[in-house]
Amino acid sequence: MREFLLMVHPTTGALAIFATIWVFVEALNASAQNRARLLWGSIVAAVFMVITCVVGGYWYVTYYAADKAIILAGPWPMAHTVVMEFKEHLFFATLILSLLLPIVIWSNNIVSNRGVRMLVLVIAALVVLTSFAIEGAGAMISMAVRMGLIQ
Amino acid sequence: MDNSRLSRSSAGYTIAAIVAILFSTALTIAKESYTPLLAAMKSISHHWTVHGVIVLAVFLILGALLSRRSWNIGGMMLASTVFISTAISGFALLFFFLTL
Repeated sequence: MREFLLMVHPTTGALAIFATIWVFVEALNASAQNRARLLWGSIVAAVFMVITCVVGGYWYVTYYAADKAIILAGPWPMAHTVVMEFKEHLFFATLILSLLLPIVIWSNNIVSNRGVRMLVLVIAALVVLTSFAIEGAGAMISMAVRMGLIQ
Repeated sequence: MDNSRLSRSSAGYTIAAIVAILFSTALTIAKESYTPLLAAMKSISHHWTVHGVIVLAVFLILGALLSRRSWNIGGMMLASTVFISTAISGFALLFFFLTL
């Protein structure tokens, strides 16, 4: 169960990134024909991000202490003191921006309002960039655990 | 009809998101710098869980309150502000944990 939860949260995070890139591309080509796709893409992205939060958060709160001890005793202690701390707190910004995206798309006409379109593009880009940073941080933390175990 | 304005809910929730993101950063720095605050959060539950609930509550409650009034603010302005506040938040967190 522990390993399953550990694998699920980066996977749903990656799916949230894919859905947000989908929203970004649809927003670049916004028209009356793709309004529904834009809204559904943003809802899918938000749902995957919430699942990532719940599963990743449960794993972090329940199981991370053992990995933290290995990382701090290993050759890459900064993987916890900087990377993990940065990751776990930056995620709240990503989550909030993911939840904001469907609200903005649902309540405005993105086709005729250039300002709204720019707002959607910026929010989607920030979700993608911060999510990639978080995914990269996760990879570094996993490597730090491995380095701690094999030293 | 002024086509550049945002709906009440998107303006309200976008402003709430900006406030919540900056508040989350400030709360992170405060709890890591002031041990009694971290201890108080840990006394409720895991500090990350408490942090998340507080930040989400700020976003949802402030968003609902701010959505009640109309805002004379454009999407471009809010897009710039969201970008700047998220960048400030990210770099502040990174700088803080690098120097802690």
